[in-house]
Amino acid sequence: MRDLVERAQGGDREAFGALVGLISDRMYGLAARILRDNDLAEDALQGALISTWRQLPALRDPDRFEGWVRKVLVHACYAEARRRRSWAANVRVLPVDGPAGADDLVSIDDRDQLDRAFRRLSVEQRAVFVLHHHEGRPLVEIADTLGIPAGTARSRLHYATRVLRAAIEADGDPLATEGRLA
Amino acid sequence: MTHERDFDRIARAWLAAGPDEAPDRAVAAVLAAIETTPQVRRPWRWPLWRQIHMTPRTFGLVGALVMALLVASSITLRSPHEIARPTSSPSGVPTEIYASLIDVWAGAPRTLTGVPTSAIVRATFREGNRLDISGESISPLGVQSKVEIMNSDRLTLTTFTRNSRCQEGAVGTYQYLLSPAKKRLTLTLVSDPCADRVAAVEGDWVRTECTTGPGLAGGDWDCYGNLEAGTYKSRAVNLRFDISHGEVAPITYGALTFTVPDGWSHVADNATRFWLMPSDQYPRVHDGVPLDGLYVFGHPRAASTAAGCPFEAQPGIGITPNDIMTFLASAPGLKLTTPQPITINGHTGLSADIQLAPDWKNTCDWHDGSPIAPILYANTGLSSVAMGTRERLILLDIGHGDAVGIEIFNADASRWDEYVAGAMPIVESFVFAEP
Repeated sequence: MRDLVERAQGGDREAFGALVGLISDRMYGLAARILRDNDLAEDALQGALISTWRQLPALRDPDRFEGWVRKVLVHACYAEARRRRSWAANVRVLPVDGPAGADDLVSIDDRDQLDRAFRRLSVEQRAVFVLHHHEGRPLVEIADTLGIPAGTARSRLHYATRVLRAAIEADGDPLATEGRLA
Repeated sequence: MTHERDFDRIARAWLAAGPDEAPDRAVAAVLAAIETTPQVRRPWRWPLWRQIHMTPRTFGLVGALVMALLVASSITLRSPHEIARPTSSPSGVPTEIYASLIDVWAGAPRTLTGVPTSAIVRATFREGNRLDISGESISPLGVQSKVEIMNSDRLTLTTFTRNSRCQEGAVGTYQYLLSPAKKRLTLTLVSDPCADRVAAVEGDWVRTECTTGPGLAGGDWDCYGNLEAGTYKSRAVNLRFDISHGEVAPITYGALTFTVPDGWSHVADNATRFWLMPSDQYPRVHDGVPLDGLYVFGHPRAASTAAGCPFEAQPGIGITPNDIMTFLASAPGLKLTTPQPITINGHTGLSADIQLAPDWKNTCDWHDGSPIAPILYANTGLSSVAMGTRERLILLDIGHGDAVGIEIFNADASRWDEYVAGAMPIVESFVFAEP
């Protein structure tokens, strides 16, 4: 990948196209999970990749390309979410597509509760939660990616976890929940 | 209680059930966009300047150098959109005529041999007299040609690469016609031995001066931007697709034909949304403040009146214009005029003007805390009215089980009469394509 990044930094559009092919699926998945909206995720992905192309000559360490794109993408997600709030009309929020019954661990009720609770989180809290639970990134790396103190990343994750846990516990019978997961 | 480890498993499983493949059209749009997007290159690192001790003499030298660089960069770093846009009609000088073409132009869908139809097609006239045509299935190199202006209405296109759909050296001749404000270009075949170039080049093109960007436009940089008076076809909006199934709406060229006077801008046009606004407000589109707009979208529903204004339809309300208007007339927070019958392009519906009820205090979770009330939930999301704003809502049955919502949104209700008088002729010009 380093070779492609260096060529793209020199203005090679073909090399950048190859990089887009390597990372676009992962980045789209990340944006879709943070925004819970396929259209907004598409917007964020496009904005982030075009911004990445424009700013690429300024990237000092080509080996950090993917992390750098991730950072640009998360900020693009922030922008999408804020624009959504600020529009007077025609704000789009759509359910994220996914294979039905992808994992029996999560009941339909849990999914609904998690979906609703997740939408109540700030986009900053969502980003930390997704980077941690979906991408498996440690908090220190998340803090570095997002340009925030590690303590802030920790508190965002803590708050998001508390809200989502409460959502799936509040609705059901605690004993039944316990039993199902045992 | 749910154990921590169990919660982690549930969270991971829940997150795993999301998409893992970027839509092809999104990737194609990025690749097409970078074809015309310059990279930002800084000649040196600014922090170095902080280390230089600035004597009056060096200060003067540095000042002169900075001025020289600013002048040089203003010449060399301009984007295609800023290059050589003449303010008067092109002269008969070929270089000046070509300069007036340099830009990205949007065209109707094209089908080239052996590849699927491309719905989003761009013609890019570049510096150095080069023309590229690109689309989802059309490589910019496919019919890349050298352009030569022959006279005031003829140009030739010559293939200059071997990796082309046309034979190297093949020359095509086309008649070109620029509209008075140079917003529109028509290329008509005179002769060309390369059939794929004919398919790619011939037809009407609209200059894209889109400053909205994918963030707001939702898909690409291909909104038309400021419009010259005339009739245009929509670029992508799909008014007959019901996105409630969770699928991605396919884009559709020409679902809506519209006629505008001078002074309007085409701001966004993607699969789920079509958006015009007065040109004097278009430069503020990124300011995040309410602006006047004219929106068109498919499959409107009455928005949920639940607390917080969730992005949901109100349960139990029908989907006909009458069902929705009847509900909105008594919906909390809204003050409607009596819905009036309206017919546009032969399609019947209802029209009503909407304001926030003066005593309404509630807000929405996603708003800034000031009073606001939702109106519609549609493929494009939630529409709403806040204090001091006003809108005309038109709901039309366009046949085949499809309905459209049209919102003439006015950010400053004190200008209502003037604004709506200017917008209604555009709405009355709408022609909805049959499926």
